[in-house]
Amino acid sequence: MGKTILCIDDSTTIRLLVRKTLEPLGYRVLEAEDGKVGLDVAAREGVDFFLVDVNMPVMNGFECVKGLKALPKYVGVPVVFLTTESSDDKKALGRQLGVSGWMVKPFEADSLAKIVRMLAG
Amino acid sequence: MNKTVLGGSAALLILGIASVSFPSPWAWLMPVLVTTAWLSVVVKKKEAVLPLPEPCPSLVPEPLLKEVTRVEVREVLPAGWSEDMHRYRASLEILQGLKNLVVTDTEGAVVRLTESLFTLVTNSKDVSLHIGKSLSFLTRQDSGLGKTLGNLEEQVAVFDTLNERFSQLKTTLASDIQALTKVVGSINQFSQTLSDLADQTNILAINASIEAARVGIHGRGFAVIATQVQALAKNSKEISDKMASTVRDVVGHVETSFDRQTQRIRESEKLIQDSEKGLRQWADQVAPQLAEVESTIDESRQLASTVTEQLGQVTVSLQFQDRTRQILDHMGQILHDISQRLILSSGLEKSPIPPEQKIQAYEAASRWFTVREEWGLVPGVVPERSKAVELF
Repeated sequence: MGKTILCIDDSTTIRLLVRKTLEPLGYRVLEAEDGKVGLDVAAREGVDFFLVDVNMPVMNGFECVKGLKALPKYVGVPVVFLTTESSDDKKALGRQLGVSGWMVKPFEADSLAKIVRMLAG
Repeated sequence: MNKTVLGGSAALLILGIASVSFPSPWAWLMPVLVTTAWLSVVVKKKEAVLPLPEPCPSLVPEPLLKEVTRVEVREVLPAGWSEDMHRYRASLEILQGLKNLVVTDTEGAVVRLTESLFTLVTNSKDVSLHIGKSLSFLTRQDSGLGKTLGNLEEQVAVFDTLNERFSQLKTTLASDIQALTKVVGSINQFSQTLSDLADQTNILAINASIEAARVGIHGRGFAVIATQVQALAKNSKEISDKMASTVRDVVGHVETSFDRQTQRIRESEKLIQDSEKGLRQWADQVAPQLAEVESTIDESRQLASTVTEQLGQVTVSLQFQDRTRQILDHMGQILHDISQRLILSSGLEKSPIPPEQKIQAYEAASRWFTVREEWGLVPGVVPERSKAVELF
């Protein structure tokens, strides 16, 4: 079984595109529609790589990543923000939280595959 | 006992105490001011425009009464404003509904489009692979039709060699016949010589017999010898004639056989030439067709590759729906914030929207409706599902 990716994004289209891009490459892709559901899924499953949106209802991406980083089993597991945001202050906040990367939407399928392969294996 | 009555009573009490304690004009002003200030707070907090408590005219001087009235006017909404505000709130609800409709509909459409596109790309790749697999045996140089074509060309070359050898055989046969004819000629000559020799020997023997007879008794032995020589000459001539006849027969047979063989060789040569010609024609036709097949396989592979590249661009375009959704949300939020300030300042934020204002709002909005789902927002309206195609 390949590595497990968790995509946390409130857009059904984005989650579908991520799934369609990564599943043919052998990854198992899980989905969550907001930060809170994302933390629930992360607690329940074993995830090897997180793709997180910033602007989401219920719990935004920054809060979600704080929660993920607090879980002992995910120490060292790569987290990448996948978002329409591109401001320096938001990126700085992401760096402070310890994320591994910042991808701006719209993303190219090849770029996503490359980053996942590089960080998750 | 409500606040209004309590407040009014408190003011009167203060007035009474003040009039007794502080017999000065300020004593009259203080309770009025207190009452006015209290009333302004109450009015602002009231759910609906409540009529102010009637100040007691006998206790409040005329100028102060007018002041209170002016305050009351400022706190009352202008005529018709509340209806407009309710309609505005109802319209906001409609706008929110339309925004949600747009987001849900486009998201659904984009999801379906995405699924279809990826299925299309996968199928395209599968078709290309299948074409390549099915036709690759034709073009493989080590085992396919390509190899067969190579073998064919080798066989055509063998035919060439066969043709050459048949030609050489024919030449050899012709020269053998010539040599045989020469030998037979020699034999015939020898045979003729032998026959002539026999004739001459016979003549000699006859002459010898004649001489032997002329000699008499002494020539008898010689006559016998002459007779035997004559017999010998006769035999030799017969043998010579037979030999000549036999040789003629043999030569005739050989010539006939040689002719037959030559004819067969000629016919075989023709067959080989015809086959070679046919094979060459076939090889010449197949070779470009094979090249065409190879070209088709390459084109198919390139097409699959192009489709994959195009999908990359499409993937980017599909995500603009998400951006549009976010922008719509922001627009909705900005409108909501501005509207809330306006509604709060009107004091109507907790009032239920009266039905008539709701109806008016929906009537105004529905003038723009053209899509079935828009009509679905109107309470009590169940939009009919129309046929996809209708003939008149």
